Amino acid sequence: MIRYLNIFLFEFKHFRKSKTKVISYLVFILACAFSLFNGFELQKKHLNTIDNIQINEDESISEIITWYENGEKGPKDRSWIDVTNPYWSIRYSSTYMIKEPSKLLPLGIGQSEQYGYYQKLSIWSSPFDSDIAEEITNYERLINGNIDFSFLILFLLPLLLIILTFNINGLEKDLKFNNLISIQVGGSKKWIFYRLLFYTFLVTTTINCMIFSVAFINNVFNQELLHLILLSNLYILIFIVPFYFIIKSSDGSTSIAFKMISLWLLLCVLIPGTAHQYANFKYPVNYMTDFLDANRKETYDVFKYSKEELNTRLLEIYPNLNSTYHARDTSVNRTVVRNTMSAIVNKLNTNAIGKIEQQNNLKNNLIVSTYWYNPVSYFQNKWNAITCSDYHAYSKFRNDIQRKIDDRLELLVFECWDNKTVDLKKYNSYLKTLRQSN
Amino acid sequence: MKEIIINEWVGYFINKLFVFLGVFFIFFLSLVTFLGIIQNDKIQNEQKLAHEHIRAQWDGMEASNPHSAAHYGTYAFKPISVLNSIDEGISSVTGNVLRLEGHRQNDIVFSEASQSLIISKFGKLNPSLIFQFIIPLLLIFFSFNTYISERQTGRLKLMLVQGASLRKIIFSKVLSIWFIGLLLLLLTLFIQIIFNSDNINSDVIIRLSVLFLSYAFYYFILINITILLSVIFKSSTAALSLTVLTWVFWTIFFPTIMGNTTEKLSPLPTRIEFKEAMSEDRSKGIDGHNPRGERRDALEKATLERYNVDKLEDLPINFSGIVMQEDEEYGNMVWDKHFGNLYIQLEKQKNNYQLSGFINPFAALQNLSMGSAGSDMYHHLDFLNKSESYRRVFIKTLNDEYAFGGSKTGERGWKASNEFFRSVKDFNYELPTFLSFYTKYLIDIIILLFWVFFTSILVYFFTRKITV
Amino acid sequence: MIKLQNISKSFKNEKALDNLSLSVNSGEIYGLLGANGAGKSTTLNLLLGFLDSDSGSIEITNSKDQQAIARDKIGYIPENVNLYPYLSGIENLDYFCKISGLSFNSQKLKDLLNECGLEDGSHNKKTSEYSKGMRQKVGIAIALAKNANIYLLDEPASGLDPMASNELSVILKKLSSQGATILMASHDLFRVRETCDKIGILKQGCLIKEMLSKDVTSNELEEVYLNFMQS
Repeated sequence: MIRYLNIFLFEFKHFRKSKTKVISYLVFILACAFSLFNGFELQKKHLNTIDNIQINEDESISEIITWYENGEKGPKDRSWIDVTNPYWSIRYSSTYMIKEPSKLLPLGIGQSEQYGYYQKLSIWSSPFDSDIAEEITNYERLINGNIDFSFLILFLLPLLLIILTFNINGLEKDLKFNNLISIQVGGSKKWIFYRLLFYTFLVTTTINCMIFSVAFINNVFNQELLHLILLSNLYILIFIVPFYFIIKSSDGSTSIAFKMISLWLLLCVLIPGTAHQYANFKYPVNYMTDFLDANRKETYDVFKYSKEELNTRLLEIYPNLNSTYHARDTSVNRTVVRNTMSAIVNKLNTNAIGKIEQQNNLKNNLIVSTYWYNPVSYFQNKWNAITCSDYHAYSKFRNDIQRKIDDRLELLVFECWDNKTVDLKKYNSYLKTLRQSN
Repeated sequence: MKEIIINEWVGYFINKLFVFLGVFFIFFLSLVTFLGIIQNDKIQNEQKLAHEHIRAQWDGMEASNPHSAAHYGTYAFKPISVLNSIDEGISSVTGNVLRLEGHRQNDIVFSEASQSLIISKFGKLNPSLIFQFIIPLLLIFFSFNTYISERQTGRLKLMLVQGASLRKIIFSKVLSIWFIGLLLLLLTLFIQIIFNSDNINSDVIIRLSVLFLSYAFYYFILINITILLSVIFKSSTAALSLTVLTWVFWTIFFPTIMGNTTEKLSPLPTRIEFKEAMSEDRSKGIDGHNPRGERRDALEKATLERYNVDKLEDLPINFSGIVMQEDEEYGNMVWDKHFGNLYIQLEKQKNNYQLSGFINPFAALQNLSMGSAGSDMYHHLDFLNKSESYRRVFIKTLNDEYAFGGSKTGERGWKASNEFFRSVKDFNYELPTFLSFYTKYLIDIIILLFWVFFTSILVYFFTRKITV
Repeated sequence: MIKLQNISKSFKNEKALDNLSLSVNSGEIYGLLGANGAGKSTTLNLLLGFLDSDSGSIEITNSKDQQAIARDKIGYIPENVNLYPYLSGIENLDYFCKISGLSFNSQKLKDLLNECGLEDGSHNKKTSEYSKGMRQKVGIAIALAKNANIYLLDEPASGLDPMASNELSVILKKLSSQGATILMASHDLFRVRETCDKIGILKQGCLIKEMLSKDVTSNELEEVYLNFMQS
């Protein structure tokens, strides 16, 4: 056993004596540090934006509260606004839905640049509105990727491993002293194994330290962190295991390097590229015409409905409206009905969004079904899921937005139909429904 | 020289691995190119259907108020270029749908990348993926040992004694490997032309030529560098590891680093900052729906004077339409200022990235590849600009109809006929010709030529002093 | 001692060794001569366990207790002792010792190198700066370090200058005088005659002649060798 421990320990000397390996390793560490710095910057930028948004929201809400306190009905230059009416009170109280960045975001920004992380909600909002577009960004930078920690681990780390290991048993074969090694060790399998083990140890320790450093800085020690560590270590094995067999069976360092690079290309570029092409072939880009129809044509059709039609539609959506003040009245109040018709539009939007999400899910299911031969995409999406930056995290955010819109509209409809008068106390109770955090 | 090249090729053809790889790549590229064309047609068709669907809704619009129609608006669907199947560039990350309506300029939304989980970081399996990632590696593996094996087996000395110059030998080797890359490039272009014959026009031919030359130059540079390193280091392992390392830096590392750096050099505003700045400027204009405000009063006064009447009701036109258009014009001015600045920043980033080609020719290749395929940022910005130009004409047509189409001030219920709506020009985006854009790519072309020249000089220099 | 009995080995119907029998006693240096392809390297590879014979038996035993010797206890010196070029002589020796389960302090490692004739000043130089002879000496030190009783040498003198070649002979004789069993495959008639106790000539996988070196002069050996090769 001491022999193998010695092989393992001596490998540090081999590593130290190779300038290429040491420089590559150091460059990788620097890149990791830079990526974490970028990740923290992005997190900070998101948090700052969120702070500004919250300040903004607080200011506009306190303006409305001042009106109540001063007995005013709204802004002085807009006489038609009356915040004692639930319609104007709710319509004027635009609030934000925010997706807080995960504390682990510096470790993987995933798809977060593809989506918006806040939305201003009104009675006409929908989670697919254009104001929830992603942050302003340079698309060409986006396709080249960020110096993102997960990118470094998933795509560059295997290349670092290639540089570190391609001449194990390759140099010996190139210089034809592999037989001498075999004689000394009594077979090369374990010798290769322990040499590889050193680099596996080196790399996993480095990565784990990096992950822990983020955990320390952001004070996050939870199960997700453990999952991330496990995932990264497992990912390293995905490459190290085939590397072992390549090293064992190849004729020299050139052949080893060729095979390792081919494996990298296959796993990181070709297979995901093929799966991507296939998924897009089956489910091409969605121009969202269902949603566009709901959002525009059908919405405008709703505008043309008579008050009776609107009334019927609203009662279909909210059967409990029957017990409200206006529903009990025999004549339909035109203003109340028109003020609450955004709930009908919301219903149309929700139906269309359901179809879109369903289509997206079909595509996602297809992607998931490729995981068994497409491990890199699996690790990538798992990683992003842990850092809450994958499609599902944003899909959940959209669902949260939709729920909040539904709540807002339900409040609007019932309060308007019940002919309520809004005072400060009532308004504060509205805010509990309207605002994300109370 | 010709004899050496022919001899090299004979050598390739008796090498089983080479023949296998050659056949594999020819088959693989043909398949990928062909499937890419089908995929492109499919997306183009989807885009056309979406466009027709939306236009049909517009054409079927009942008699309505033109300003309501401006709010109703329309949609611009970003089309993909014919050569998108070769290099899809940024197509998958940009939005595809842009709502064009009155009072506001929207963001382009619904990118393909936002519609699913991530599948591939380096893009779909299309010819550009093979040209940029796989063929260069193949060429590296063909070239790293070509000189060293000649040297180690003593054939090099033999050839020199026979009277061939070292430079000739080296350049012959460079050219013979380069021809392999050219062959694969030509094959792809050939398939593209055959299966896309309906869409081939002079612009597509120019774009394909630029694409071909860009990759051809890049391959030449890469082979030159590989052979140069093998000449300098005299060890196949050192040559291979250094070239692969160079490839990794060029292809994976530098583009990401440079992307981040250019973004830091010319930072972009956050969306909320941008919107706030815009809405602040916008609030200084006329609110089309708010009957108050100094600017509005001034406009009212000027209009009354122009028509020589005292009251709005006496105007032969609908003043509301004038106000709406004035509001639009102001909004356009604000848009021009803010989006103009944003686009300037984006172009600065792009220019800086282009300059990084001097240390990384892959950047120049990438720009030219996307540019010639019509899928880069310049083309995207062109689409956004033309959409906005269309939006302006579209809204102005509607506002003018509102103002001058026969209604008078205060007639809110006035409606324009269906014929009028049908007569409003549709938005048909045409991809700009490459020649109208070529100046934007001059720097990339210069960079690739510089690298061709620079690496050739290095090979020339090092083969002068070489000791065999 | 080394004992091969009726060993045959073929590669794709091509006979490399044909019923080969030979033995090398402890304290003896055996020189195996033969042209390229005669079967010398195949014989060594069979002894090293890199190849399995088609038929026959191989015995490699310790002269003291007659126990079979494990492969990692055999000293092997290839034609080119290539080492890790970025490590020094002493580091290479240290590494090769460690991978065979041995651990020595630096003094012991130095002693081993000195014993093989490598001067002190060279111990800490990178082996990329070593001559072939110097690398041979490190190779012998590697074998010595594990206290090998059996030494297999494949063309050890090839490419060595006369001085280094002579030094190698001296070292090998010293080892045999200490009881080591040495089998050396070579083309070099003169060096074999000078170094070995017994000489065997291999031709097309058959041992066609065995003689004691003390019974022939160098010229006679050359004559015998050429005669057999031409016949």
